[in-house]
Formats: sequence, structure tokens, C-alpha cells
Amino acid sequence: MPLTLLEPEIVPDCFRPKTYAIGEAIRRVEEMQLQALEQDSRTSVLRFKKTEAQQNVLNLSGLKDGWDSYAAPPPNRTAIQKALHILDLLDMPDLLGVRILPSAEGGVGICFVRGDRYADLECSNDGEVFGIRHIGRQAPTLLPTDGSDISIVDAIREIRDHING
Amino acid sequence: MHYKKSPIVEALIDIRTEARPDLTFEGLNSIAKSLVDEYPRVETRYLSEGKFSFGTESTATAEQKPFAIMFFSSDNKQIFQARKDGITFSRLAPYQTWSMLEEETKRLWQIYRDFTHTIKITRLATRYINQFVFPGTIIEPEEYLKTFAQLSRDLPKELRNIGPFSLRLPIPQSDLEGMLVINQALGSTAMPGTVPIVLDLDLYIENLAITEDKTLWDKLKLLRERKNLYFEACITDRTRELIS
Repeated sequence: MPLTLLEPEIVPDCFRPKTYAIGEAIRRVEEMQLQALEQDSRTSVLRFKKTEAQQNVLNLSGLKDGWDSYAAPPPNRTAIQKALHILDLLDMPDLLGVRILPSAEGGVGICFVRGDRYADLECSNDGEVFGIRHIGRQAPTLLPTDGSDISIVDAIREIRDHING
Repeated sequence: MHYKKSPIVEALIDIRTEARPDLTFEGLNSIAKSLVDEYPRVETRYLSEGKFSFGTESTATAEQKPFAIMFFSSDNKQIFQARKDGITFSRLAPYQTWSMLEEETKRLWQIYRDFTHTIKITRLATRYINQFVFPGTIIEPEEYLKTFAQLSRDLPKELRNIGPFSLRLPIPQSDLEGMLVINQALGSTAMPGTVPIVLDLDLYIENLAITEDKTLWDKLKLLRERKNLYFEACITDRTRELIS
């Protein structure tokens, strides 16, 4: 039974209708899934960090137009979906230093900071993904991607090397 | 068995206690003074008590309550969580040894116990999260793993390919009066041309009423032996070669 990474684009669970089933059995299944999720992220730091990052991305969906007191648009579904997907591409230890922020241009920023080293990946509302990295006040280096997993994983690898010095 | 290329991304020991009613979360901060040299970075971990409503429009409302103080070593490889109801000590990759994990937990437990005057331990756990990186873009999991979700062979071959998955198996450990939860899932795709699989072994005993440290550490030894037994039984020799 082969296992493969090659699969059609995945819709994150959070954007799927919860279920169409209405019986008691599905409620029990969902209850067990929630309990399992809670238990699994209770002790492990890495599991907790991933859940926290996912929650922080989802929380951005509640932002309104002009959330920054200017005219910033809130992150849309495309940006949130892409950001959640990128969290899945990160190596578990990468999640330790992750911060999730909304972008003033519209989108979600996944930021990595260690000391004066900074990098981020920005998922824009129009579906683009690009990043930057810099040290202190140095001019930032652009990390372009074509939005594919391969190019995003390359950018993540560059970010990891940059952050870890 | 100690493997040179250990797949362990996080190993932890968790001790849960009966929380003293007068112990406040703010009061836990005083522990930081005893740990500042080895664990200079401190973060408060919040527990979200909220609801997400999923669907075409996902919304979230959450009330956050402080749950634990997380103390990070300067290299971020060791993390100590102190809660009102116990502690967790985690070691991230690169994994060192069980004795290091055990000794540091004992030391941190002593600090916590002296500070909180905890009397009763109610739950004990050890958990090892492994991430294997198997070569290839398509693999036959049976070549690497002995515990795995199997699809019926009655299905035609082209309908037996599986994509990203997660599997959760709670297995009662009646002799220990505990539970082992095996979580297995597709890992993050950090390296192209590989299939990463997470094998998470979470072994715990609940409903304890331990008051003596010796009993606690004796129980922990039993958990370690059981965890090792399951790990070795879950992998094939091919995997052993990869991590040796």
C-alpha cells in the first residue's frame, strides 16, 4: 500500500463544513477528536506551538477592514488557507520562534525572530507568497517563491539557516 | 537502544499533581529566580477556552487563561513548563539520553516541589515524538513500520494509494493501569524527495495517589521500559539501519 506526498490541493479542515451527519455517533466521534486534540497538545511543546500558531492564523479571520486604524484590508480566506498550509510545511522545531501577524497590505505574515535575526513569509490576499530576511538594520534580502510547495520549502530552508546563524 | 541518528524531535516527562488550592499562577513566577541561569527565557502559555466555528466563514472567539510558565534554555532545546498542577520537562532534538532527561526532571521536580509543597502526584507520563524521514516520494510503509494503517488488499492496487493521514491508537496497559496513545501522521515536508512520518508514543498512568518520590521514579522506569518496547516493535530493521 504505497504512501505518497503527491496529492491534489488540500483544503484545510477548518474550511470544510464540519459534517453533514446529524446522528449521535458523529457527535461522539467529534467529541473524541476534540478531546484527543486537547490531550495531544497539552504536554508537548512542539504540538502546542503548532496548535497555537494555527489558532493565531485563524484568529486573524476576525479582523475587519481598517484593523490597523488606517485602511488595511483583513486577511482573506486565500491568505489564511495558504498560511495554514505553510505551517504544515515547517519542520516542528521551526515553530518554536514563530509569530503570526496580519499584513498591512492584506495577508498573513509568518515571522521568525531570534535575537537581531529576522525573517518572514508573507501570504498575500491575492495568493502570492514571498519572504524577506535581514539582520538588524541591514537591507532585507527578498525570498521569492512561485507559490509552489517546492519553492516555499526552499525559502523555509533559507530562513532556517538565516535564523540559526 | 541508542541510535546515532535519533529520530526523536521531542522527549518529555510530565508529572501532574493535585494543585494546592492557595497556589496562584502569579505565585509560580517566583520559581523563575531559581532557574534564570539555565533557563533565561520565559514565556506564559495560555489555554484558549474558546470556540471556532468552521465552515465557509471561519470565526473564532477565545478567552485566554494563563496555563503554564515555559522556561527555555538559551539554545531553546530544553523547555520546562511549570503549572499549578505539575510540571513538564521537554528535550528537543538532538536528543541526548534517557538519564539526562530523567536527571533534569528530578532536579526541576525538586525545585517545583520545594516551592509549591505539592503532596500528591496524580498522573505520570513519558512521551516520545519521533519523526522519520524515509527516502523517496512514494514509499511502502510496511518496509519501514510494523504499526501502520492498512487498507484492505481486496481493493485494486490503484485504489490503495494513501495521502496525508493521521492515526490515533489508544492502547490500554492493564498491568501498569495506564494507557499508551500511538499517534502516527505524515510529517512536515522539510526535505524534498522524502516521506516524513511522525510516530508519537504517549504513555501515561492516571488516577495515581503517589506521595513518595521513590514510588514516582520507580513508576517512571516502568514507563520507560514499556515505551522502548513499543518503539522497537513499531519499526523494521530497515528503519533501524536508517537511524543507526
